[in-house]
Amino acid sequence: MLRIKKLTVHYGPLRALKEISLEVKRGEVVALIGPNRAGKTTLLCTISGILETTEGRVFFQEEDITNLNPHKIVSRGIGHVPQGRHIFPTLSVLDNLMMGAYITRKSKGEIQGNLEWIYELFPILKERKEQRAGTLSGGEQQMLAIGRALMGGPKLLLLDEPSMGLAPRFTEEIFAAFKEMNRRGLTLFIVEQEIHLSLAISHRGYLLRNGRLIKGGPSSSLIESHEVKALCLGEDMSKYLVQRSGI
Amino acid sequence: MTPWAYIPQLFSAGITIGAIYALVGLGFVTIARASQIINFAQGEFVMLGAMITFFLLKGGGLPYPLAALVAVILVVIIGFLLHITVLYPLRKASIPILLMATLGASIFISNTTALVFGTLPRTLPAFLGNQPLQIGGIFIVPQSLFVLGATFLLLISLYLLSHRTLLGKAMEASSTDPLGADLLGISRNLMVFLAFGVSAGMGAIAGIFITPIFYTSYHAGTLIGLKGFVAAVLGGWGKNSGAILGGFVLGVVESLSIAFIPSGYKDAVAFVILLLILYFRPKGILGSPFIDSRRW
Repeated sequence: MLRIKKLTVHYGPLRALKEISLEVKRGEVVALIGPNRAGKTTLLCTISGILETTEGRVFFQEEDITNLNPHKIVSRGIGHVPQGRHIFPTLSVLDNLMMGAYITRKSKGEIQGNLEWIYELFPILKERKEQRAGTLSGGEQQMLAIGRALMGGPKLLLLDEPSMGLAPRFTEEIFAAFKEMNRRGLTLFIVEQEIHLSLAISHRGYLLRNGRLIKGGPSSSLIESHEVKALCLGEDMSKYLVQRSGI
Repeated sequence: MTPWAYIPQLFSAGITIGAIYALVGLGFVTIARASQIINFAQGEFVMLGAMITFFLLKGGGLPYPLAALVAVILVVIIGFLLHITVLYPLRKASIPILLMATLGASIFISNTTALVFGTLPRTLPAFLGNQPLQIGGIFIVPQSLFVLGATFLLLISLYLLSHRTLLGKAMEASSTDPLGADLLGISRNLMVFLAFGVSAGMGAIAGIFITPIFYTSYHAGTLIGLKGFVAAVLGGWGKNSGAILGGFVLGVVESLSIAFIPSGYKDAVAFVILLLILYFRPKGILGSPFIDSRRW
């Protein structure tokens, strides 16, 4: 469904991604893991047209979508839930959701159907639909950001650090919703800092470091690999040191 | 008579001109919210609305309402062209460069107007004659009531556009979080383009309604534009309600000043207010979403 061939991206003189090639097949959940500043967010932003490529191509359903405008990429069927949520705080929850369907030209019936599905996945959004989005908690805002991306009826959903800064209760609820979305046929490409969590729900995964793909394969074997264990150990070690120093 | 005897009369005149400052200030805010651009060509839309109406009325022989309607449409098109030809090509430029570009556009528009329409001051006929109405002890020209009525209708229309239509909400979304809007396919460039059209239309209508009371000329847009900017800053830069409040406060203060200082200094009042507000309360009366309130 999504095929990336030898993608290189620069921020000015700084190379953020180097010759990345990967694939996400229809109906899959694919995780992209890696340390901070590995280039994970850059890769998602390049797929959705926010950043321009230096070299390489991006194909979606066999169509070359490299460097298309974001609104053309959304209309092709790629939704993107960005890191930091980027909800519209002054609009109501319902208006935020309706913005997700703004350019997709769906019928009223389809929009209503999508709304019902989103309310089923995240019932709290229905309860708070008239509330200003800026007054929601962090977890509720993340649910809103996901729901808003679903309103466009995407075929592929890009998720950038969906568990970042969330209480465990919300993380569990959101990951349960990802499973349900995938069960209903939606393809997911997840960038996540919680390595175990993302590899647990994904079929395959890729490890990115310093802008290069280090490893890829089925999640069950990836989690056993030396590179991923080293990454997990690095995270556990840093958490341990932070706890010990009392920061 | 003491100067105080004139206060009610000056107050009513201040409300009328304040309504126009409010509309011009709203034009600034509409574009700034969509794009962070301060469009110093906003006053030119006011001048063009009146000038084009004048020439369609006198030269083209069109009926007044039709001339006004065509003028508003033409000014909206000029607003769109300003975005396409000047600001869209500079969309990745820094704010100071955009600001200089709008100043340049303002000079270009006023000088082109002088070339096309001449340098003489022009005025438009009042909609219902010039016989003043006496309300209490105050004399009001009927045109003032039209100005207030048009301002009220435009404010309602802008409110309905912003809060009751998907397009208005998309403009709001694009202004509050451009990246979030981009990722939903809401084109920021399209929203800025539309904001220029809306602002140009509001400016043109303001110009058509106020010119029967005051006059217009090719350079009149600069001053009214700057005063609209002062109104928007005074009320709270970036807030629609701020521009409306700032417009009326500025209009009334400026008008009342005539009772105490020579009327030739009236125009300086707005800029003294601008200096004072920048020194003592940069976020304006109602606060500004663009200015960090913790610092002020």
